[in-house]
Amino acid sequence: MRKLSVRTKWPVMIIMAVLLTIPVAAHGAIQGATGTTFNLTAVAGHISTADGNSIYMWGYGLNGVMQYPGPTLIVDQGASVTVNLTNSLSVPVSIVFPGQSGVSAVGGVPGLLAQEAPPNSGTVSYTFTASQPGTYLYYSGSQPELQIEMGLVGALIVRPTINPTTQAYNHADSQFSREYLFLLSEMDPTIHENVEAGMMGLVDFTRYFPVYWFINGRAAPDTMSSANAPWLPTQPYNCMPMMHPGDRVLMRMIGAGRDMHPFHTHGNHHKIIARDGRLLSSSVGAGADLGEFAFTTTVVPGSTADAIFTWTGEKLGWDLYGHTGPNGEIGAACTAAGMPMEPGEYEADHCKPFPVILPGQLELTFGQFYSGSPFLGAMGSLPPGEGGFNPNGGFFFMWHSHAEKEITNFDIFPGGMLSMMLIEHPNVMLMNP
Amino acid sequence: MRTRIRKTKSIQFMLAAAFLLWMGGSASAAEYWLRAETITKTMPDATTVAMWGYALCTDGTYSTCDAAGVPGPALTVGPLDASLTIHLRNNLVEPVSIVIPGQLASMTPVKFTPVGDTRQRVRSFTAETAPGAEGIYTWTAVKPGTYLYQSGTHPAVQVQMGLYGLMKKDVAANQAYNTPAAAYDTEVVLLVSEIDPVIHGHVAGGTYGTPPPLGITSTMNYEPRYFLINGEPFTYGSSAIPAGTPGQKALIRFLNAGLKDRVPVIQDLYLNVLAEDGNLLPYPKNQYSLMLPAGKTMDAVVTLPATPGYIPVYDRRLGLTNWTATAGGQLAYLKVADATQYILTTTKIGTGSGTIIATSAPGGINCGADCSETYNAGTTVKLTAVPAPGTAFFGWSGGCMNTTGDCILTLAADTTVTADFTLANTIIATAGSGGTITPPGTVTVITGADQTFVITANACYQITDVIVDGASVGAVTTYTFPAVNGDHSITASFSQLTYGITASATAGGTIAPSGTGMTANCGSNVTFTLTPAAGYVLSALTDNSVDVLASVVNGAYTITDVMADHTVLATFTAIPDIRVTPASLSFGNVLLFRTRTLSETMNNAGAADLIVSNVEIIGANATMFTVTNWTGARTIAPGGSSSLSIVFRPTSRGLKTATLRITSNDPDTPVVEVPLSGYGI
Repeated sequence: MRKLSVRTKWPVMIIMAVLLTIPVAAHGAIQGATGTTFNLTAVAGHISTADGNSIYMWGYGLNGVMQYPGPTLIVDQGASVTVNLTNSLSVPVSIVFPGQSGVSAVGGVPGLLAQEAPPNSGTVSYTFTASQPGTYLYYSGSQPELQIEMGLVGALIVRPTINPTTQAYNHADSQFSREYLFLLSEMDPTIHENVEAGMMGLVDFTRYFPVYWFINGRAAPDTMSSANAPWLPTQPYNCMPMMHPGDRVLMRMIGAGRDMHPFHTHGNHHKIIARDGRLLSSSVGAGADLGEFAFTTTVVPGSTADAIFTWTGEKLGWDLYGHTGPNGEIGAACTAAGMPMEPGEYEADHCKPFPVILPGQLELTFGQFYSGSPFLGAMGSLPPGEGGFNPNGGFFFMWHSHAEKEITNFDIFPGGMLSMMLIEHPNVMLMNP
Repeated sequence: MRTRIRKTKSIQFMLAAAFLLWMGGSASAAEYWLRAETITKTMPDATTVAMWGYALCTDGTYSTCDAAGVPGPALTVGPLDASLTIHLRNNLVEPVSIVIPGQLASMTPVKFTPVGDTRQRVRSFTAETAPGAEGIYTWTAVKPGTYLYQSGTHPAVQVQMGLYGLMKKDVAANQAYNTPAAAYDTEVVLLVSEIDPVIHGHVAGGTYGTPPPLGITSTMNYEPRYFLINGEPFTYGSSAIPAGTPGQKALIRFLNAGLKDRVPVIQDLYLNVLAEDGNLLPYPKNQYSLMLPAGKTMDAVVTLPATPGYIPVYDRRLGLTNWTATAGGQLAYLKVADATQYILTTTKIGTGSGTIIATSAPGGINCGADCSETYNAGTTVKLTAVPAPGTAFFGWSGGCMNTTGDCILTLAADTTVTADFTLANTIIATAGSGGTITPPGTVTVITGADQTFVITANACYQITDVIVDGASVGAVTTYTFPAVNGDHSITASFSQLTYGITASATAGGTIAPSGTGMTANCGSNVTFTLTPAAGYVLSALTDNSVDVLASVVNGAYTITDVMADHTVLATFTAIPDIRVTPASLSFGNVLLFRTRTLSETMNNAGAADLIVSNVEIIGANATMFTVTNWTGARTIAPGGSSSLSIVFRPTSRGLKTATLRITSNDPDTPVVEVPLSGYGI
């Protein structure tokens, strides 16, 4: 019977040896283009999927470089936003802005859903006032069943007038310390192959059969690689949410494709506070009083949902950090007895002992995310070759589409619409996505 | 509260329920007569689909009926109507029934025992009406709201065949629910559904229930190809749905009678969603999208914008095609009417045929058959002309005057736009490299007109052949198609002109390339390499008898820009070539007044006789050196050699130097000098 060596003492030495002592840096913000005028080009390119495939896409790009999804446009509430669209494709394209009213267009030719930029260097310019804060999306209004599939979609974030970088809406219910984008989409590669080969006549959307699923334009495990990875030049965004205990994480979920996706957060419920850019309010000013807790949220195509996720280790039933009281105190008594709490720690479990005796290493199988210690921020010994994915001793919770088929890349697991929420010790500096 | 159903006719079918009474009509009741029958629907791509629909009839004789449709007629239960009674006449070959999910009724399910099984399966949620019979279905306390009425028998097949429709009841006139927010001025119904034509074909053809490959045995592989709003897919000719005038409150009833989830999205506006499944929500939802699973109803109120216009509503599940054709499916426009309306009329002229379609919001013209539409004043419409095969579009007149492209106009009055579709044909004219054909490319020719093409070869090229419709007409410079009445092709091919090159050399060297019968492309350069043999020199070079020896550079001669035949002749002449060894003579130390003799050899490496004409010694101490065997001019044959003896006799001490000078007929080195040296000691 092996006792965990760290049980008897607050594992100061181990933690300090492993972690950076730099205090928490600037909070995480979603990467995107800011300002009031955006010059987008509809351009063709290719993306990579994690099973090694390369898929022909059409995307909105800044500076003429294709990206999937299109750039996340971040504007301020009340701003007059202008989006200039240049079309380098050989079919007309356009942009619609669901949720925005009074969108006017200059140039281009009228289409069924929006003013369109004609093919081969045609242009059109859209202007609207972003009058309400929230999470929105934009996509092509020209032959949308084809062009959204081909990748002409992106996120639009309107920051509120009150606390624009720490709130999603003009109410404290939407306060966050970190925010992450979850733009969900799916893909049927036969459509892209036919378009690339110039065989539009073979495309049949009534037989749509997706085999790839993406978060922010990447299929797992690429979701967990760094943003702006040089080997994914047309897929700049990643999805690797990270937090410290006690943080409020804003999830901006967007249904960018045509299918519903049940997005599931292991580790805790999240609280849905808004849909389609509107707080779930019983009346004006009441905040998100109609918000509801869920551990799976159906992300609806064309629709958005905002949720707040928190985690403190609450009710795990043991002290996350392995604190112990000098005389076995628990909770506030332990703090009073001189064992301080970490930021965001759940006081009722403070100094509660770890409830089991871990089996010996020879009686365990290991996953790559295990640090060797059950305590947050702590490492333990591991057999040679085990672990390795958890350099700071964090807790990993899989966040994914719960339609399990969607966490594959063309039938290969793991893949698709999957990522991890990583909870790190308060002293660990979190990488901005 | 019990619902009783009376069968007026009972044919082969045995009801489990016993004798029933029809509850006598209350003072206020809604009552309808519906007839279930087959209809044929033609889709925009000309596919015909068999469907089952309801026709609204005036009474129980079923002799005066509207045409049957899908969805069935909207059944309104008035605010003061407590009950609803539907008389259902079944003109189908299967039993049918009617259920209204969300409305309470006492159901008497009908079961059957499948062949080979001992257990019963439910076929019908409630009592059936047999083929040819009439059934009565009653709801005695109809709840307000928006509902779907649909077949309750073999629902997996019958509902998707088209047996569905809207049933609605308000709480008061223009008031949908008991809340002020549910008051409305106008009402819009958006009932979405789908068609899988394969299943319809099997049901109509009697092969539903036959195992594959001849039939299908279930709707498990339901895969719709058409997507409908209020029974129709969008086409360019679809008219917008009137929603009211600016500022009015419009109640939108959303219903999904299909089998797949749909997500209607409204542009530019937010919906105030008040109710689901006929149940008022405790708090309204404020969304621009609705998640509408199969069978769902939702009610929303919208305050129409202050300015007239057209508000797009479309399925964000992207059921927006008519099978494989774009601009179809579940797309519609809500019309916010302007006080002023204008009519846009399209007409066609010309000997050919084609279609004019409105390819901008809100559609409205597919001419085709639908050639005019009433629009709000100020609406911008884009019309696209689509000529039929064998026809070409020759431009617009009337509201637009451009000869190519789309007609884009903003309506400020009733307007007529005319498209010229004239029978025309296409001639594809292509020229290979080396020449041109005029006019080139895709040439449109009005049927009956002549069309002439001119073929021109570029410089250095000639016309090789002209192929018209796959057959050669020779290397002509013009070709005329008379009275064109079909599509044609004309292809001209060209080849580069070439010239003959002959090159030869006399003995004593080579010219490369050489020979007769060589060719060079017109305009190209030809380079000859001239290589004399040992002992020879290039003495003459002519090109077409012109002396070009001066143009030889580094042993090469180039003809640039060949424009004619060329004959190149190279002449090589033998020359003598003197070589002397050693390069210098050192006699070393010699006693005064003694002699030492050394030999200098002269070789002829050339191919002609070397004549050494003079040998002499010059220099500071020339007197101390003597050539002893020079007797006069000496001839050395090619390859031969001859030697000179030189004697050194110092007459004083010290270094003595002189130069042996040999003069010959070597053209390159007529004079050779050999340094002589020695020491007198």
